[in-house]
Amino acid sequence: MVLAIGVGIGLFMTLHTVLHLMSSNPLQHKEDILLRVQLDAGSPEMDESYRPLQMTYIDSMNLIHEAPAALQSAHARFNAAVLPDDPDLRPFETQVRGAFGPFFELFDAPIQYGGAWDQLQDESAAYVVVLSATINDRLFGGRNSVGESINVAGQRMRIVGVLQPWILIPTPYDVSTGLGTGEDVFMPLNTAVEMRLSRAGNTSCWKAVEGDDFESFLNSECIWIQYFVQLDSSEEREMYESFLASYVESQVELNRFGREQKQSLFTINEWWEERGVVDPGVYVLWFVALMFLVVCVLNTIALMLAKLFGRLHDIAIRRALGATRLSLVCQTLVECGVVGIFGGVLGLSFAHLGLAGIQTLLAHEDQIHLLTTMNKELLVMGLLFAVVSTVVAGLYPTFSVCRLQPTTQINAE
Amino acid sequence: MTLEIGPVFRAMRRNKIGFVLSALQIAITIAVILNIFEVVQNDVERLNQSTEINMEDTFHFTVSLLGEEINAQVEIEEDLRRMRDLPNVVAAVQTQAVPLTGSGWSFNLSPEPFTVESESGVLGAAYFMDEYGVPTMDLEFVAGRNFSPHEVVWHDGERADDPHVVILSQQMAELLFPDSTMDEIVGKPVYSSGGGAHPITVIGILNALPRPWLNTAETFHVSFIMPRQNAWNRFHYLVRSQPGARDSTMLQVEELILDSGQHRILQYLRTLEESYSGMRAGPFTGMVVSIVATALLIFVTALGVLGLTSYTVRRRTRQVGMRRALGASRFAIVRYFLVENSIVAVSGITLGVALGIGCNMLLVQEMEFPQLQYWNVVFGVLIMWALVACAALAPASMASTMSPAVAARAH
Repeated sequence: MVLAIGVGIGLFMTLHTVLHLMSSNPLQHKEDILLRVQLDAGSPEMDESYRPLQMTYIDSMNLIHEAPAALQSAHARFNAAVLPDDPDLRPFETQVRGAFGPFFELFDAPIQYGGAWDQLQDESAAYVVVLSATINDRLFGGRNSVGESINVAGQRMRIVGVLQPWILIPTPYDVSTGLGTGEDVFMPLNTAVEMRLSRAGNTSCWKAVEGDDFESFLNSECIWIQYFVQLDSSEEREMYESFLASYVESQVELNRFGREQKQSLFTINEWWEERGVVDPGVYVLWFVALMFLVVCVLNTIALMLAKLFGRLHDIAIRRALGATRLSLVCQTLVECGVVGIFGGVLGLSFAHLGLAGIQTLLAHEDQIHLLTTMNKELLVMGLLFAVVSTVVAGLYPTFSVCRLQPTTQINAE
Repeated sequence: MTLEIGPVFRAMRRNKIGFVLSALQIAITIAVILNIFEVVQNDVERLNQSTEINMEDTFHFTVSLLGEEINAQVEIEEDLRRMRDLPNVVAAVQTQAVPLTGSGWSFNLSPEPFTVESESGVLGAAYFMDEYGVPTMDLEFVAGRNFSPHEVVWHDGERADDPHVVILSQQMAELLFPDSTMDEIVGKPVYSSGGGAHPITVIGILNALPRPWLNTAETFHVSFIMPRQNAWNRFHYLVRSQPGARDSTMLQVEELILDSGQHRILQYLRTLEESYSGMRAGPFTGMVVSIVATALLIFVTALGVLGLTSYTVRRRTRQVGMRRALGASRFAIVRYFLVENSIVAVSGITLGVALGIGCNMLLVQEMEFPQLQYWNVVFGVLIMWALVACAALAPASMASTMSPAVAARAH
């Protein structure tokens, strides 16, 4: 029985862990106030089901300047080369996120030293950066490097802040290319644009770019930017929504937008559901694992029935000697609970094996261990599932056995 | 020889819970098997696709040029000249997207001009390569010809409309011009959604051209090559070496590129084999997990059937003994238990098939799930029945070997 539950929990927790880690929102606590802005740009002839997943540069800049909110950010990912000052270290490429100052507060980025840049630096495309813990360790040995400088893509940039280690999977601020990996350098979006950094995310243009140069690209209908805003109260949200509605109207008049604007503000969970961050195949596998657990529980019921029927004589004698039904039921269910605990422990060890197996198969993926390591909550959940399944499995056998009259049993054998 | 279904059924009713449990297990198992089998079949097809491109001898890497005032075109042309001069390099090309690596470009081509900004035409993966592209990938022409050097256009902007010719894969050609032969398609014009209203002439058609992404079998080779080279500061090189010399060539090329005097970063140096297996790892893992989960499910259900039959055998020892004493053959005893087992199997399987078809319809509607095929249902049912019967066979034949005397005495 322990084995039956163990195997069931093992497979289930393997898949549950992966699914849970793939789809859980690291910023759940900000769920109602952290919102993603989505504009249904495009021409009326386009297919109804097409949903622009990002925003154009023009719209992002318009919103940053005009939209009524204190905390908002437009951001995108880029590639850039870092030239270390130390001549022994070779230049290397890193991921850069161009964003606006409020980005760090919006997404609860944990700051170690210094802080974000200010609005003036955003506006003036200042050459300032915030570094990740990883790159700060690599180039500055982990010390407080605020005030020092770093050469990014040939440009000297002043360090204004350093983050603590910060890797979130999935990455709430950008799921355009999958679950996301962290960036090492953060700088104002205007700076990244001014430096013509090479874009590293998704770019999609429903309309061909008019001219041939970078300026034309910036003015085009290509979408490549994500836009987030924090709206703390429902009044703020209403005000923002009505601003967006009038903005869309104004753009319709300029013939830039031709489609019906559906939902424009999404919470992170809503956006992930809309966009489908997790591969549906994972849900299917999770369900199969759940069915496997159910089958194991059915087996456990059968095993428990057999076991209890084997004890009928025993139980009957005890009943004849005065034991109440309740005490027998309790005793059996407690026994189930104990079996559940053992089964759970065994199951979690199996799950550990299963997760290690998955990690090996996907070894080339950078952050795969983030999806295959059970945290405390999952371990507790596993044990709980085991105990609950076993007790539930034990309910029918216990009640059907305890229902029988003592005398019938003593005589039958 | 009757099947004694009546008496079997009545005997079962006195212990129905066990049989119900077993039937439920069988139902769940077959519902899962039917659906997962479709998925696995799909995955196997996707993972077994032939790429047609030379993967063993070919490798790729990304270069970033650093420094002020660089002329990327000069740098790239020099790199290519030096690489192509190496004795072990068969061909080398600069491109903005590499097959089988998971990242690339795509846009639409259409036989008609794009009059409104709408999604028409055929979406294909786009490669910007010069005339060395096809030799580097070791692909063959089924019609037409390769680019001539003068047709290659250099570009440092954001648009994609300059070239006047294009090479298609035959899969893309078929989708664009379904009613023409390959030879007829050569010379026809297409229009690009990337920009530009002028027609682009198809000058060559390849036997295959895998995309950067692992798509379905139907779209895997829907791609095209334009004779364009981006003069950007970050780009990829794709190089094919002499057979057997790949690893040493990779080192040679790496040294050559970094040696150019110019500040450069070279990254992601990989063979196409590596990149491709990296891309396949996800679907492959999914497939492995599906198979393991289903195998476990079948195993546990079979164990359940085994357990149930052993249990029934034990409880019926007296009846078995009496029957044997009355002259029933061993075969008759086995048959008795198999009939019992079949009743369970049939109810379980029927319920399971209904559940399976229902789930399948739901999944096909909600997500891109493959639809159940009739043959697979029949196949699955037969396999399940056989498995369940086998699981019951062992205890059943043990029952039949019991000597009548022993059996009659037992309680």
